[in-house]
Amino acid sequence: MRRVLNRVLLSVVGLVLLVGGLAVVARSRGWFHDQLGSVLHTAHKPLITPSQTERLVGHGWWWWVAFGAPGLLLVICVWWFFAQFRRRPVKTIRVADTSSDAGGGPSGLGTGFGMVGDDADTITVNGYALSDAIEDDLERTPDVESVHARLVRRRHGPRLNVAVRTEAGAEPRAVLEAIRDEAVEHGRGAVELEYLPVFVELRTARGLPRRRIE
Amino acid sequence: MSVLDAPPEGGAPPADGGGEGAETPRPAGYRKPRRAWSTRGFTAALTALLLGGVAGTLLFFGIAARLEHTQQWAYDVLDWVQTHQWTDRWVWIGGTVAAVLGAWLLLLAWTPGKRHLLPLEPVGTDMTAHMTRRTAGTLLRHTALSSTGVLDARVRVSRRKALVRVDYHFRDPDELHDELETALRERADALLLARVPFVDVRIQPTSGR
Repeated sequence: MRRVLNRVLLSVVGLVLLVGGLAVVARSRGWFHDQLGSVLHTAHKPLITPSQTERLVGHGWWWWVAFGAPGLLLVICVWWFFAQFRRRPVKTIRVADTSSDAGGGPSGLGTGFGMVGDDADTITVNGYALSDAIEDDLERTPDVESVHARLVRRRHGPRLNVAVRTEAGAEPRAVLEAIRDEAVEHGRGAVELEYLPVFVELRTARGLPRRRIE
Repeated sequence: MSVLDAPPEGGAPPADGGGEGAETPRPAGYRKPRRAWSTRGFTAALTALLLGGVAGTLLFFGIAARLEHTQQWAYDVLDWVQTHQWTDRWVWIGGTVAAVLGAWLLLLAWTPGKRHLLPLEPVGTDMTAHMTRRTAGTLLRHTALSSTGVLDARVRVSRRKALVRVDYHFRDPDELHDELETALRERADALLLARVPFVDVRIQPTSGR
């Protein structure tokens, strides 16, 4: 959603700057004076005249606007700025414990003795742990040079972002199939997720493929 | 990886057919892969910072004026504004700069960005895959280099076209050109690119190095 938000806000700012800038230039240079004379007024006047200031200050709402508008803009801008650095990692995934000591709870003593509020038959998996495991799994597949995987929280559950760097001469289809059939499938099965969408960015090492002797 | 009992498929068909030939029938839920859209985080952060700076300055200006602690520069600005007409050179220069900046922001807001990524045909459901242009170029380059007589190849891939410049020696140019074109087209088809680029081969003789 940040993508949409950024693009909408950038469009608004861009439109305001474009239209405002063009209006200023039009008034300054006397463009379209015949058509838009009533809007743009004459150019032979100071930017702000004393009579204008007096008229503005005379209004009851003026001080509200003079402090409210920049204040509101400042708050929005601060929020928008910090929204860019917000990360959405998957902190925990809860998995039903099917091992032999299920029901023991985190302390192994059963509920009521361990951590309060934690279900005795549930294991909590850290999102980083899962993405690291998927990373390790992928690094062991042939032709893969390096992998960077992380889980991101999305509206309908976690999503896996994978950046794969293959060795020179690797086949893209083979790499993608390996990701689908092994790493993602194992990770998804391990935490019993219904489905785990993947976002892959594929790169190759530069240079020539290793020679194969036939 | 303790729990490996087969999870439910979620009703999704095992749609593994979006590949080699474009003629193969697509599965029901197939959507053509789209370009990657950038978040525009850097532009947004920068715009927010500048806009916030302007708003903060204005607010400071107003509060200082109310408290009657107005700075000298504020008086200078007010003075400039009241003594210069709209016809002043700096007014329309400023307006032009604002308009150009606005047009640039609109361009950034309405274009996808991430020009280095080419969308790939997904292998199976729930997968969005992209490949960098450089990767596609490297893979095509390997194919070009495997032909006899080819000394070097430089590849530039755009969304619609792959331009392959080949240096060769000791080969019949027409024969080499045909061979390269066939091999590269075939390779480009197999790269899984959502839009297979048109391969443009240009060969030039070199004396070697």
